[in-house]
Amino acid sequence: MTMRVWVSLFASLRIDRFAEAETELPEGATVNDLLDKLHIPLKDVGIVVVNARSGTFQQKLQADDRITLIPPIGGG
Amino acid sequence: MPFGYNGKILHVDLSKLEWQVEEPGEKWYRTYMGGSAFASYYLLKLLKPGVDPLSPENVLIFACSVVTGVPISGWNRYTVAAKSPLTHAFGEAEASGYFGPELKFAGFDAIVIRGRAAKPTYLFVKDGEVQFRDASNVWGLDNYESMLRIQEEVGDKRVRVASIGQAGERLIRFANVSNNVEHFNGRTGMGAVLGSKNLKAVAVRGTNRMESAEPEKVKEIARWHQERIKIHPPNVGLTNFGTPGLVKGLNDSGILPTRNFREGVFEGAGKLNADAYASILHSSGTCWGCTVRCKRRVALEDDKYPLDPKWGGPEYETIAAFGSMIGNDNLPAVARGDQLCNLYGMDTITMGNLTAFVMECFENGILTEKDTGGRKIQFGDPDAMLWLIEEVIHRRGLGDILAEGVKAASEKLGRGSEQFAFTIKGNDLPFHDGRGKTGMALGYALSSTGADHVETPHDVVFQGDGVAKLYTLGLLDPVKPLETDAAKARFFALGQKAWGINNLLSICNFTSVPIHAMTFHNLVEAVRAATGWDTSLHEIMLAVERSMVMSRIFNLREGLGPEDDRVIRRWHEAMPGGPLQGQKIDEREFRRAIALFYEISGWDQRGRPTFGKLVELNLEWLQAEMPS
Repeated sequence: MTMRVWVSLFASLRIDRFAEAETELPEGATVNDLLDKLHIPLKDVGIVVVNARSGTFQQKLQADDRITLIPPIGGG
Repeated sequence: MPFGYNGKILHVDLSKLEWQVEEPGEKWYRTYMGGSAFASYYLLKLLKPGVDPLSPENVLIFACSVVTGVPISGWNRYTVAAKSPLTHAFGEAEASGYFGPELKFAGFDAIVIRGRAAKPTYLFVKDGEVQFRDASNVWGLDNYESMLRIQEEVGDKRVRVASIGQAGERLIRFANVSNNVEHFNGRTGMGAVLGSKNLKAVAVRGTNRMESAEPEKVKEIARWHQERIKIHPPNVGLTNFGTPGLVKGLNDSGILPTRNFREGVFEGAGKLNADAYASILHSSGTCWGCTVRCKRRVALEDDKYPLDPKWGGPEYETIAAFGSMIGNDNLPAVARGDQLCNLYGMDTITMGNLTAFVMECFENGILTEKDTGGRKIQFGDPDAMLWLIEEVIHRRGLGDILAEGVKAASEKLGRGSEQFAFTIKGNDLPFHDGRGKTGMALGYALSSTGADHVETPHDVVFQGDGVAKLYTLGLLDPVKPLETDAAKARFFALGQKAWGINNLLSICNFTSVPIHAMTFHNLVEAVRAATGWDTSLHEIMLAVERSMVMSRIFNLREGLGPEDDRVIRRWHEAMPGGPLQGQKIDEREFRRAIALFYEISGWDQRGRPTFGKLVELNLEWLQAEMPS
């Protein structure tokens, strides 16, 4: 079984990818699995937001979840 | 007996070699809370406007907060503040490490230092007692040797030392204060103020841990926080890669300041990023009680760029300073420059800006080999950067002029060099290009310390659903990083007060809100559990605003005005290439956003807080300090 999720990418993560897209993942997939599918290395992600709440890499996703990924470019 | 803090402020007069203890009472602590607000309070009370920052009349403050030393990750910072010899305005710099908690354990929440010692001196504060100690055997030593010598002299290796190196002694206007050669109160030249007072160091040792009102509740939140840090993405990145992990993101987004803020993409960034850093990485380190472990130590056996793990490792800012800003992709040379500055006690952000300034002046024929005794200073040459560090620390030739900082140096040099001197309120810029983060550009323009990246929310992380992190503040709309509109002014006005909690409570940005390592709810719960106060986010943010208004009035008193709330010329010019090609900050829109910020904040159009605002903040006493 697969599920559909919605993904928004920001700043440099859009390069050679997309700004917004829907994608299919196996049921029970995590944010880490989504990163693998999109070929985004862990170190390129600073902020994970799932359904307008702070998310984690290990978080299990549900069908129709909205995921926002932002690179680490604040602070220093 | 208060909880979380000591209720004691140590006052030291170096001219008379006397000390006394003030106990201002709970109401005062609850009004000002810590760090930046303690600093502003004493600077406004004790300093007259117009004082030479390097004269004995300047007042120097080491300040923790009511919760510094409470065992939660990141609750370990302290502020060093004074009138800045670099900007001639409000000066302040925060550092983490181990000094802040140790000062609290030694029985004091802050130290207020006045006067000038007749000869080199250091303070030794231990469990409520103070010694003025002869520093003649320490004066002239670098930060590392100073720490070892002082620990040896007082006979205790557990003593924490906040010291100056040779840069502070020689009144280099961007000298910093070091603790353990890994943690620095870097900005605005606080080290030169110590030097001007003949104060080599403050050494502290305390054996009394802070008592919390509800210790079990504090433990519970601390455990939750530790678990969160293990999985929260920004913290995972900081733990695994430290701040060098930021190089790639900034470069790929087109906002990595390159060649004196001329460009936003550096072709050599791949040799400076987290992957490259692995080649010089020795180990990771941390600060008191913190599980993030973002500090990095470096090592390299090399004749030209030897690196010693005892002398720290470059953070993101230093990698940009001695890397992209000067067109250099040699990471060991960056790290060597960092370690020299750490030992001498110089701020790497200013030193990188100075180097880039000289390089661009050379490129344009404003400075030539005649000014340097035959040494060419060109973009891309790391050895020119290392050479300049030595010229500055020894105050030789051009180095003596550069030791005054970019703004003063360009004014002295003239010849049109001013067009390549980029400062805000006299402070050199940390390395984030405002053309891609306009909210941060507002922060650079409006901070009382001048360009300061730890005084402002970085709007890039609040794009799209990222803004959810600010719902608690009533900010429900996403931010557009490239806009300078009303929504941005609203975001900034609220976000800045949320970010300001860190400087007020002396909490590290990397463990706190609004990067959401901590939630607003649990932050407030932890402050309540530590202090026993029935406090709220509202009360804490009022104290932040109080702090910002106080430092603003300090600057107004010193003659600053709305014309100083600006960014650099280059950010009003189109980005020449990269993902943000053509992007610039519209100058008129930016002015409008600043004016709107004044209005939102209850300031008049001259940038002066209204009497109504002072009344709201219990700061009526400052009306008398407001210039007419």
